[in-house]
Amino acid sequence: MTANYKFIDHTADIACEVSGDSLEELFTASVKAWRSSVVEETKYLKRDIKKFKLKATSKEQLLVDFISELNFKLFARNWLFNFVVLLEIKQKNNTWILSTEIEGMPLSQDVKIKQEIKAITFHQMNIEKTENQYRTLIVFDI
Amino acid sequence: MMINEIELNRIRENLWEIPSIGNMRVPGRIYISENMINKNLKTDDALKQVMNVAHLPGIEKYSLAMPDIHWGYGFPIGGVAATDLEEGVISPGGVGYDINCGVRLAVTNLQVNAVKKRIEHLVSKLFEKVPTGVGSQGAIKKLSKEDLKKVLESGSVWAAEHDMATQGDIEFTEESGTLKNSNPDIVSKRALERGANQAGTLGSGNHFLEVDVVDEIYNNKAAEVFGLFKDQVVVLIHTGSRGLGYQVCDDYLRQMGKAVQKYGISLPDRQLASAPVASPEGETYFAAMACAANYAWANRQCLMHWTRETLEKTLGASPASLNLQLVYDVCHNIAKKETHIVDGEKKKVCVHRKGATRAFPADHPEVPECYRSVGQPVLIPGDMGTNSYVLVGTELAMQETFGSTCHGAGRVRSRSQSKRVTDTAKLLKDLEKKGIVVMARGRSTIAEEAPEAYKDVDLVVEAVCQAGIANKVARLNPMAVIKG
Repeated sequence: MTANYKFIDHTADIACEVSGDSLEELFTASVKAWRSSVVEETKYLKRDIKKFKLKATSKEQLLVDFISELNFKLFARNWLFNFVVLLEIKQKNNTWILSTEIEGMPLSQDVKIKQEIKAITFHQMNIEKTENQYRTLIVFDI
Repeated sequence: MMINEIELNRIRENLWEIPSIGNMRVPGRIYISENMINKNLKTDDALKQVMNVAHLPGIEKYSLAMPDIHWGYGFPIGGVAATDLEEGVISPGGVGYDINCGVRLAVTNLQVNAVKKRIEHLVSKLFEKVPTGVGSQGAIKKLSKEDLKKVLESGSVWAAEHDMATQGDIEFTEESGTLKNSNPDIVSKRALERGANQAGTLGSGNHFLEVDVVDEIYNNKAAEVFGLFKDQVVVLIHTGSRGLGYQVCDDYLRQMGKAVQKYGISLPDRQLASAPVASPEGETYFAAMACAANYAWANRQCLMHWTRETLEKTLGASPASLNLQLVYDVCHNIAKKETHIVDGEKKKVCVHRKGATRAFPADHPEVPECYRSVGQPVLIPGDMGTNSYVLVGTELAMQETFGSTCHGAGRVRSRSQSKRVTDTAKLLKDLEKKGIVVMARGRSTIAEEAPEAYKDVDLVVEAVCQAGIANKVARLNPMAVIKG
């Protein structure tokens, strides 16, 4: 398993190169990158499972929607994603479908938020498969 | 000259043109000095974004950019584009995520000496009263659905109805603090949820509340009309529509992605997703964007109200002796339907300003009556260690830039780089030596917002003034800065 992410300099915001052996690994690396951008490392204090499905017309839209969902849960509902338990991505005709089970916890004073991410952008996002690896750049607007 | 393989031709001092090539519908024009081009424009793709914007259907005259230009999403920050209302498109990427991010300037009767010795106490009281930082929640209790809808419909007027704004505050806000044609019913539940508990908050990032002093007057007549005098204590507030605006932009970018396919619009960048201004998708976005704009005006109004109360209480001043009055409130992330001269004829167009400020001249009917002899105040915040400026709009801006000018210093260094290279303790000491008190929720914000992370605001202002698309009125120096 080679899901990975690396932050790179961006004039105004946060840019991150992510990769993975499969789409599922790429998406998992992406939400890990998002999490490390918004909160300091913290213990997983309380276990809380959430399951949901997302549909989109492209892989890129699906990735933006997935991270946006976690961003919304944090900044609107005070619920912090910790890690992916299950993740499955399928394509059916022209629709991309994501099914996931994630673990997280309600925000508490023990969690230190680093910064607010306004949105997950499409800027320079292009999910490519090269040499059995999926890669893309993601830019978070802060 | 060639910059990143893009041809830039000098039109006159501080004005450069990118010729229309390929599928560009108009040329690009950038108001910037040669020195700033060499220093700032080689490191990112902002010029390419000026060219991309020139592909928008119905774009009029030029794809424009100001000297504070830097890389954005779709549009560059510092970008201006006007589109035809019938043939043209409206693009959420031309407004940005922080809809109606803007600045307001309020003056007081106080002179610097009356405040200097008490500045630390004053700033700590302001810091207590003004909600700041990531996910900060309002000093007003969570808004009910009905109240939130009223905020989205009426902006600053909602604040006045809740005794948080004077008639003067309304009069001296762009659009009188209410952008018409808003429709709260089409704002998503998610956007409403993000906005319900953030009304009256400063937020984080580059948003701030500053206590400044007027240290230079350049134009006596305009300064007098705006109520500015040397050594005067003033307040500058910079924030926007918070999570509600971000969510509105996000929601409509998704819908515009579908509209691009529906209307067969060909664009070089997905972040430029747009729909015809006159289409149901275009009209719906405008109505939702207007809601977020109104939320932002109510937000800045609440913050100014608490600032007024805190200054009166902390300094033991009566409302009359403090006399905190709004000079003006400008938005620098917005799309508006305005009348301009195109090809010699008066025409209504949709002006996108993304990191650009409206700069209407003297005698323009949209300028408040008592400013009409000089023109609209334009507020240009610098960074926390340097100057901010009050400018005034010009007739040339009306002719060349759809009545627009720059909006601030513009970043040159990434936040992570700034954190890596900034010694926060030393920075705070340096600021203290300059007599500037800084308070922030997080020390990392101070490092990210270090003065070196920004272009030199003096050069940005010099470029627009030399180009004739604004004139200097006054310069402000910070005494105290509150960051999120």
